[in-house]
Formats: sequence, C-alpha cells, structure tokens
Amino acid sequence: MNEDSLVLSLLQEGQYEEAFSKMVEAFSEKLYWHVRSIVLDHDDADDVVQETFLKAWKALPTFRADSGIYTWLYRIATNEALSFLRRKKENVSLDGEGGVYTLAGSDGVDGKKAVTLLERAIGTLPSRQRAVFSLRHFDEMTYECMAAVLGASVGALKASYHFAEEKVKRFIISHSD
Amino acid sequence: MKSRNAYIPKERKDWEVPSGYFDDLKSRLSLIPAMADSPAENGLHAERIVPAPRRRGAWVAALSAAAAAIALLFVLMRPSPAGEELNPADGIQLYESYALADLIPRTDPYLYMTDDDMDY
Repeated sequence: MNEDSLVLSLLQEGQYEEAFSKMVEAFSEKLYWHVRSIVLDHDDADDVVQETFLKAWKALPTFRADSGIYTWLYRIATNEALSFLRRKKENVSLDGEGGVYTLAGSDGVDGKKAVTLLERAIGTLPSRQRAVFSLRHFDEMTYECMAAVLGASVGALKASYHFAEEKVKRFIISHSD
Repeated sequence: MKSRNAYIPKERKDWEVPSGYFDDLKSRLSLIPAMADSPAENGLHAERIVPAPRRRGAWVAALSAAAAAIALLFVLMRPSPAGEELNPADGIQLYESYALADLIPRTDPYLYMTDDDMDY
C-alpha cells in the first residue's frame, strides 16, 4: 500500500493523528525542498513548511479524496510559499554582489559551485515560475498533477516551464567560466 | 552538444541545510496535533461535514424565507384601495354596515321628500 492509500484509509477511519504522522514522515522533506525552491531561504522555508502542516492538520477532516494527499499537500505548500513571498513584498534575487549566496570558488566548475549557481539562477525567476520549475524539474511531477496543484492549464504550465528552464540554463552558462 | 537539461543539476541536496535539520523538522511537526486544536475537538468529523448539495439547500431555504418576508412586508405596507389605512377591525365593521344597509327600512321621511312635498 503506498503512502497516499495508507493515509487515506486512516482518514476514512477517523484516525487523524496517525494519518498526520504518516504524512509528516512521508512528505515533510519533499515539501521542504519544494518550498525552498520557491522562497530560497532556509529559515523562510522552515516557517512555510510548518505553516503548511499546521493548515493541513486543521483541514484534515475536510479533505476530499478527489485529489491525492500528495497533490493536496503540494497545493497547500505552494500557496503558502507564494503567499509568504507576497507578504514579504520582495522578489528575492540572488544575482550580483551582495546576494545571499556566493560562489564557492572561481577556478573551474565544481559540483557545489554549480548548485550554488542553480540557486542563484532560480532566484531570478518570478515566484510562481519557480514553483513550476521546482515541481517539474526536481519533483518530476506530471503536467496534469501540476495543473491540480497550481490551478493552471497544462498548456500554460508547459510554456511556463519552458521559459523557466531556458532562463535558468542561460544564467548558468553565462555565469560559469 | 550538451542537452538542454544537462546544464541544470537535478540535485538540491548541496543547498545549505543545517545538520540534522530534517529529523528536527519531523519532531517539531509531530507536535502539531498536541499543540493545535484537534479536528475532532473542533466538531469537525468527516462524516458530519455538510456536503455541498446540502449547503446549497440551506441557501435556497434562506433565500425563500427572505423572499416571503419581503412579500409579506409589501402586502402589509401596500395602501388600501380607498386610500385610507384600514384597521382590520374597522374593515370588518364597515363591511357589516354596508352589508346591512339594504336591510335598514326607510323610516326617516325627510330623506325621501321631493320638491313637491315641500311646503313653501
């Protein structure tokens, strides 16, 4: 029985605490990385993930099985992350000097430098596009599932991901030397 | 030539995360049911959640009640055909007077005198 099915069966039996515990175990790390890809800062991501699970706990009785737990949680997490950024009223840009992240070194492109570049590259994307990029590139979510998470059409998501990917690639290439 | 995706790493695990963070995160999240109100304590049980159709029924009932109230108000505030506000009791009295009018005998001669009858 996969995680979704197990959690669903526990919810149907009214075992909310047990179901919630399974959700934390199965999804907390994945959700953290997804949120981190949107808000970029570790402490912010931590806040958002906590808020996500708090809202999920309160909404558990109203969960309807028309979408899976996985999709439902990602939807809450994405909305919380985007709301967080709107409240913060800043577009976190990691490009240029004085950014939060700095290059690990200048001689050659090693793994850590490339990942740091990746964070900076993602930071240049608008917040909603970061969500699209994260779900597709890292979580390898299908476009249909992303549509349920983000409330957008498959066509719009494909276009958004295409532009995001191009932008990230151009950034990495232009900043690698 | 590198494929498009080859430039973009698939891993985020090298992004800075404090050591032991995920175990700590799970521990903190596990405290939520104890700290927050239980969904059951809120009176919310899955089987008692009003489904969407019943919620719509409640709206229809409320709307109907409001329409009936407005109609009643209109009837009560509508001016009477005679232009006067009638007390229901007065109305009944008037009806009875009119209904009985034809039965009252013509006993007062002055009411029915003609010019010929007048003594000038």
